[in-house]
Amino acid sequence: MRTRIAAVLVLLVVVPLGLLAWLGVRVAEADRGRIARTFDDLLRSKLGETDALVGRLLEERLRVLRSTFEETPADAATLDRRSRSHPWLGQCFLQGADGKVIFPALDGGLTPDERSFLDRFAPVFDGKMLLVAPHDAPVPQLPAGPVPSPSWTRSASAPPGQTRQPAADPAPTLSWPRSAFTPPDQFRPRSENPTARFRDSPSSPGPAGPEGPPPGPEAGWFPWFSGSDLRLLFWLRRPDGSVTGAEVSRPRLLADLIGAIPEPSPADPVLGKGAVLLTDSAQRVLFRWGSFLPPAGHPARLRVGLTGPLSSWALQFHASPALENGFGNTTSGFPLLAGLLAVGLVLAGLAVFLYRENLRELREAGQRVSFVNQVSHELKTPLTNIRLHAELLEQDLADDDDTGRRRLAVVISESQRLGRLINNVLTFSRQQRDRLALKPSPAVPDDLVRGVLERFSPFLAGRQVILETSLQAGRSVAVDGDALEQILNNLLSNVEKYAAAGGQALVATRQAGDTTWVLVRDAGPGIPPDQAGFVFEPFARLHDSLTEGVAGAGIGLTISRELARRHGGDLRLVGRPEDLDGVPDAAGLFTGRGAFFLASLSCPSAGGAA
Amino acid sequence: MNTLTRCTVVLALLLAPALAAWAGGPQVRLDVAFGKPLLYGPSPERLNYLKIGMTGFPMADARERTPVNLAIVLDRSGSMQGEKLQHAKQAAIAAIDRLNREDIVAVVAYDSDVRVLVPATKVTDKRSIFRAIEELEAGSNTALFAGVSKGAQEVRKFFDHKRVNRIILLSDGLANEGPSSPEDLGDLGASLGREGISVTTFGLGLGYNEDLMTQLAQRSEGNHAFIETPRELARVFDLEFGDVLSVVAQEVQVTVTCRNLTPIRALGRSAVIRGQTIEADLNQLYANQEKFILVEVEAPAAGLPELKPLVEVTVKYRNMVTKAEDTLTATVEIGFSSDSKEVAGRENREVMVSAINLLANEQYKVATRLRDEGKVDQARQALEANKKLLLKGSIDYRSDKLEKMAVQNEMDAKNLDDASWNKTRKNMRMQQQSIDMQQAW
Repeated sequence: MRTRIAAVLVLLVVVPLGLLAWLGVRVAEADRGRIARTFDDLLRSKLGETDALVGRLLEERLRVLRSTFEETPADAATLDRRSRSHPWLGQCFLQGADGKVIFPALDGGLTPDERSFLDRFAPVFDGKMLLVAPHDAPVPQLPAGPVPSPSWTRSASAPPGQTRQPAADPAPTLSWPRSAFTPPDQFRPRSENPTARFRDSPSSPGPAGPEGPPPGPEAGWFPWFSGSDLRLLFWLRRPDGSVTGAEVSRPRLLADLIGAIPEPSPADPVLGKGAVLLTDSAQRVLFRWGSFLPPAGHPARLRVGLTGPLSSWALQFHASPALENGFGNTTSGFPLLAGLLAVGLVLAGLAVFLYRENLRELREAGQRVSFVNQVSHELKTPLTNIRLHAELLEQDLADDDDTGRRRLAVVISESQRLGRLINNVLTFSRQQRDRLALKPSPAVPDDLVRGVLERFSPFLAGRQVILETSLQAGRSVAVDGDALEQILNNLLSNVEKYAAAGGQALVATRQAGDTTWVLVRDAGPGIPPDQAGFVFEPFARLHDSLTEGVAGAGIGLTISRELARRHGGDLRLVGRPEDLDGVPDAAGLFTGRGAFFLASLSCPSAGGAA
Repeated sequence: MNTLTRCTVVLALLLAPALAAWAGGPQVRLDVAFGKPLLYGPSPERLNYLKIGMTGFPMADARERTPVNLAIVLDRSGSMQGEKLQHAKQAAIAAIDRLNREDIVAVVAYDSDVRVLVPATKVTDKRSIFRAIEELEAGSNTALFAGVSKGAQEVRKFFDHKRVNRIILLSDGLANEGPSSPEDLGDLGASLGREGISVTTFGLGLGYNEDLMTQLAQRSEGNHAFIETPRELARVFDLEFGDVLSVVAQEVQVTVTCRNLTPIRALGRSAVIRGQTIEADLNQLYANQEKFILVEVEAPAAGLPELKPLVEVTVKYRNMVTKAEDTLTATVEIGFSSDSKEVAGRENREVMVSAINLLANEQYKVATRLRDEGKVDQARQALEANKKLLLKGSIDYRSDKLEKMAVQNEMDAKNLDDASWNKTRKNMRMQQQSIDMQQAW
């Protein structure tokens, strides 16, 4: 009993706590997902800003270089001087419209720098890649005006997945050849290599070439892979169709990018706990900023390729473990835990309180039972003496003393009733202490029933109840006589108490196999079906109209059923004829009036019929 | 025919700039000379050396020196922890203390990432600059490239041709974040040099990459020093600031046109030779220091009067005192004589010493390369041979400088074993850079 209560109380604590924890975790997870998404959006826009910064730097650089190259003659002296003095540039070049490289002059004795430049870009010059203007890609026309901002144009030959188009730009003017991003060994025929161009005035006159409309002044970037290194050429198409330009100093470009990228503050929500890596086409880290040093092999949370000619470079964001774990945990993990702890403490406190209350009540009930038990024991001996002496006195009375005899009968019957009551109390208390044990011994049930009826008939007669009997359990079986008597006593006592108004009662016994049945039917008001289950509960008494003015402890039926069950049977209310199924010779016993109890006892056969 | 041709050396200054210089202030001194100005007519010695020396004028008043625009880029990687960083901080503070209100300084520190400790600012509040430096603590990796990039960005904020624009880089470790090859850093140095920003590099201890550091310095025309112990930092910073604070000319462009002479190659400082013209750029000249271009030339096979070898030299530079762009010119001829004694006597000792020094430096580099390839014995032999060449030169031309160099070669030849190679190599690289670029210290 106690362990069950303890278990219930533990459940009372654990179940809501578990439920709460589960809910909390679910909420935290949803939260974490939301925070992570918000963070990634923020991150994407941050990296986008950096990408835009790079784009602006290149755009500005292109503008400056374009005016530098446009404003000076493309002669060897100027280009040579520029090759050696321009901070942004390496080797300059001039390629004639016929494809011949005019500078660096192949015949004039090449410096080592010039030679390595020509080696690096041989396929570009041999394939006349800078001279060719594609006709399949639309050439956007621009109104004359300030320097337009560059943007991408989609080229037909771009491999799928590489065609990125930024948000609509009203003045798309610049494009880079997508296929030029492939290494030289993947160099394809020139018709598939649309050239980067930059056209700012449709009115520029130029010689009409065999390939179509006159090429205007155009300029752009030309990315080229030399080994795994991305090299960037600046190029400008001159009115005569020749192309001049220069290789951009890669370290310098990178250094300027690094210089332009603002130093992140440690309080930055994104970069304060992570790092951005600028990586080149070979995944080498060119620059890292932010306050986290990712170990080798650390997976990037987000990787964004640069747009523009440096598209083989990428920005990678690496989140520090603190940040990665921090999506929800550090923010809502603690409150969840604290809440769970608080609720857990309250529930545990409540459980302990209830447990202690329950213990106290159990103890008090036990004390009460024990008290009643002791008192009952104390009552039993004097009562037995009273009854014994009353019976002796009855024998001693003169035969004609009717008044005395009548009065003595009342004394005897009342002491018998008191005896039954005490018996019930003692049985109940034994049951409560789990000490109710039956001792079956061979006996004939009908004899036992007759003995009870004999004792009871005066009471019933006194209440004008006509008792019918139908005793058919004459076979000797192993039965606890006391139990059988007590069951019958209680049932008859109820008849006397509650159903005397019906004027008649039936007691029947039946036997079949190992089962003995005792049936008691009255003609009283009966028991409403909705309370049928209730009558067997301890201390239960039916509604007032029935129990009014009637004394009783309300344990008679409880004890009777318990006894029947201990005897391998049961005590049931018979509400329908089918309830008598299995009881032999039961036809006609059910009348549908009054209360009808059926006690079944499992009594193995102990001998022949009496 | 006792004399085929009279030797003539003409130093002609163009009229207009000469007048301007005369009226306006001090000028850089231009000395153009051949190692062998007189050749034996019948069979002239073909190989000759042309030296174009430029010496900064002394500064009349230290208070009128050129204001500087400086970025000090400090390594604060983990290896700098302790004594090194402490000395570096002190040296930087002591150096900045020499600057005044007209100067601009920025302080950048880098480890795995880069922090601009002091953005480019006029040196008006030294205390807050010092505080920023003192708060510096050692971190982890070495993002050298990014450090220099940020330093350059700071210098560029107040870039001015009338200032000395310079980055001073201190590092004790290998660049291990971002580009880290000597070529990449050298290219960056060249780009910055073209822009007018020199990078002086200090390698501290035995852990840095001397190729990277010397490339960066040489190609941007900054100074370089191998600093073995942190205690030397203060002295080296002092020397460097001595240079920085004594710049008298910048953006020096040298153009040489040869007649009846074939330029073969430039020794030391790089120069572009295209046919008969030689072009070279120098970022700056310091007061009282000579920097020079030295070119190996080939004289004609026979001395003919109508084919007189001749060079015309033009030097353009920005005078930091007058703030004017000045031009110097000189024309130098080679004479022929049939008197071999006279020919020998007219040898220019100074030019020949410089030439031998630079030629020996080439061999010195070869020895380094041999040792890099693991050919220890060959490297030692190269150094020994070089020593002999230098000793001969020192006797022939009575030069202490060559003798010192010979001793250096001999010492290095003894320190090629694995245990001492790292240190020897750093020292060699420093010497090589110093000789090529005529670093004064």
